[in-house]
Amino acid sequence: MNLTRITAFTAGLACVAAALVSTSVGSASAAPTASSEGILCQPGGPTFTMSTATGHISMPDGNVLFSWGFSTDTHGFELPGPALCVNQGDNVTITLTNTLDEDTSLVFPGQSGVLADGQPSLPVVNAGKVTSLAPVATKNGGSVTYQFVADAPGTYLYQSGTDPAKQVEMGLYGAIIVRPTTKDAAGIPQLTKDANGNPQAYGDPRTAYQPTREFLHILSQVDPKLHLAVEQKKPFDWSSYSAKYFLINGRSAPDSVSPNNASWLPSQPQGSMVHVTEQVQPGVARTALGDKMPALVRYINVMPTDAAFHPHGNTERVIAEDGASLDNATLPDSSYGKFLVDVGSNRTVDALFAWTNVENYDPVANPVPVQIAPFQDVLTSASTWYAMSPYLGQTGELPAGIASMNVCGEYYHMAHNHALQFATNYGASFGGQMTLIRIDPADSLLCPAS
Amino acid sequence: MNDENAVSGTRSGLISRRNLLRAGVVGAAGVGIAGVAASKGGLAIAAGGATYDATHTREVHLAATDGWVTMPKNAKPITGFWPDELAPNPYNMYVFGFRNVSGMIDSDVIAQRGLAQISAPTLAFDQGTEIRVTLTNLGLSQRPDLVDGHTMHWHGFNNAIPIFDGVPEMSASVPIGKSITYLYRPTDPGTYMYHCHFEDVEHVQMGMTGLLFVRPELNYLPGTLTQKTKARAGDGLIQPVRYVFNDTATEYDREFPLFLSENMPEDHWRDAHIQISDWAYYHPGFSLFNGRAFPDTIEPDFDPMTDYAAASVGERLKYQPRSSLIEANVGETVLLRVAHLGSVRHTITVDGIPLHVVGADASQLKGADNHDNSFVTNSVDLGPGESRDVLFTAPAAGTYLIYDRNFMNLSNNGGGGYGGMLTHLVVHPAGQLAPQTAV
Repeated sequence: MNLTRITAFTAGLACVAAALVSTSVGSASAAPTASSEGILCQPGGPTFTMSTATGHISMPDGNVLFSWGFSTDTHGFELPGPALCVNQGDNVTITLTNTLDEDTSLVFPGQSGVLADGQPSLPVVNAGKVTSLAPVATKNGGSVTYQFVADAPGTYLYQSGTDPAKQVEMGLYGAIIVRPTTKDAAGIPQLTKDANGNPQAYGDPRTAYQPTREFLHILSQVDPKLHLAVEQKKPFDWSSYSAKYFLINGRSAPDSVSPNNASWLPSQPQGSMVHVTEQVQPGVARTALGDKMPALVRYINVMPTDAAFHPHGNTERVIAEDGASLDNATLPDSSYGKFLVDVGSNRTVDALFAWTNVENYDPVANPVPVQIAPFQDVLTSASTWYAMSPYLGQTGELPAGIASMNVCGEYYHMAHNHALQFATNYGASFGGQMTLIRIDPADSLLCPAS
Repeated sequence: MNDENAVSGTRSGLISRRNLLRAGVVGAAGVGIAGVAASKGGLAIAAGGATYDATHTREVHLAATDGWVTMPKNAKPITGFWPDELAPNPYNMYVFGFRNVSGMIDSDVIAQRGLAQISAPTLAFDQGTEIRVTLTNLGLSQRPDLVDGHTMHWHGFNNAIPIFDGVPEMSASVPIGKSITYLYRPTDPGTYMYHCHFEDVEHVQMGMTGLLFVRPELNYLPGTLTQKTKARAGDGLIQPVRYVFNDTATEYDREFPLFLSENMPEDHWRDAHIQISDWAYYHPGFSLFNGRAFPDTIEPDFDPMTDYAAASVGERLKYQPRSSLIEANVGETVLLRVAHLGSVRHTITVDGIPLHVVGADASQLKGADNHDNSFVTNSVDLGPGESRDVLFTAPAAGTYLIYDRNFMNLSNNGGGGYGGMLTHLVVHPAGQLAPQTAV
């Protein structure tokens, strides 16, 4: 790595830290919301108007890739497509306009009774040959309106149903989030909450999560040769397909930890850093503070292979697969703990993550029982997330020449694809499908409210 | 078996000096941190009141370095890459790896530079033990131009703090000639793994990976730190009573680590020859059980500190010291601790024997309502970074095959015949093998 690259890299990361302090980040295009982290839902639901779009996405190594995606009235070209968040029971309407020079369509795996322009959305068969998995918006300006009733809560996806191996790889995919509802006394559906008013991922209160701690990880991959061929309108030999970039929400690490709507990633507005506050054990003074509930991480994998996603820091509890809850009051509980969340190809998984401060290390009251080597005796990466202290909420002296992304002594853990060839940027390690889990101390006045 | 851990060093009789020490400190146990209420994904789990005290500790000293190992010699060569012409006889592949140097004096530790092993030493711990793992970086003998650090990442450790998680960008790594001590107080029994997280794509591929497990406190007599024992049916020999989890439904007689990995010989050649690899391209040549490819998997344990006769199997495999030969008596319950730090999926089968999967990723297959979600299968499917706890009953005496049913992984470098992830289960007549007291 040359000096110029280090400087640019460090500058970018410093912006990350700055943006985390502020909840509003400027963007070249109008931002759908000012949220700096967490799932970024497209406003206006349950009626959405989208167009296919083409544009460029940037990779951390400086590469810029022609890609496909979607645009809406609130955002230009973006990849992945906007997250469509609706409530259970909503009549969802998605009008798609096709700007590409080939036909396209959308399929909605897990939704039933989907209509396309008022007719059942069925595969298109021409002369005995399937040409699309759903009725198409014809090339160069055609449009189609898809409708369905979101009758089951969960994490789902939408993706191209026309030449999908190519069109999904090029970027035509996004998340559909259906939130559970319960009818109130007047028969009006209201968002389902647990006894303490926490939102739930599904109907069962065991799927409740900390308000605002809702995160999305859409896992995808890119072969730059395919994207170049499509841009240049040249044929592509699929037997030579070899993905070189591996993305979470359209970004490769370390861009993945930049906030939502980061101005330097105008076409990739969706961040993926998971941010929680420590859970404090009973009997500790700051028990009243800290997260009471776990965070919800919604995983979607649009790659042709499984994703072996490993959150450091703690085991996650898998509560749903493909929008089907594993916690269900009327059935035996079949949720499970996993330190490696296996998300099958084109499947979805919902998992809960929390980090409990079980040791309560404190420099005075409960010091770490082994000597922590002074920084002169260890290697610290040139840009570090470490606070130079093992204690949550404490910071130590930063060695000369080291850039720190740490704000207030918070902890960072890594979360990444453990098929490590997917944790690379064009063959270089420490990149790819990787993001961070940020754990804030419960009682620090220095940590920004989130 | 080669006791790489000396965790319960009870080869003869079961009252070891250490267990006596444990028994002696029960009265003082209250000084520790009792009743840790941990959580997984917000689901409260009983940590079982694990108690730590100053005498109930384990100290492990690992050294990180490079070295040379052998893949089966009759395997199909990869022109220009394998066998590696730089390899000293009788070896043929360059690796990075860990060595267990516990108890060695400094000069002996330094002498292990260039003598890495794969897989990394299997580490067995007991729930409630305070564990201190000191990692020393000895540098790379073949690549003095590289100044890589190393770390220890306990993959799956719950509620980890970054300084003990071993990710260089989130904390620190060990420079050449230095050491870091990692501290762990595991609250959750099960099968884990560990690896170096410094430039992880490279260091994991190069061999810095191994299996680690935590035995449950249910193995102790209630209120003590003394291993439960029982008289074996038939001959009355004393054997330990062991469980996978804190659940009497998970009892077993013998346990075996089965650590899965693969390697791509071209990457190893390029590291030895100061070339750069494209780490996004991965096409494994050898698939390994415990660091060896069949037929080496069924050779016995060897010791990296022993001088074996020149040209002997022991000399060739001493830096891949762990056998994958599984042996049991008829009717015994066998626990396979399967962990995987390669990069492609594997489907492990034991020919003709139903496999009862009771745990995954160091979590018992039990719902939040304690519903039993364990299951019986003939194919244990797992991907990179996953583990499974698999019980089976040893059937009639004889030899059975344990292998990856993805047959592409039963070949050494794509050559003919059987290789890769294949080993033997040998079932002996009842009572023939003495009780297993160490792994």
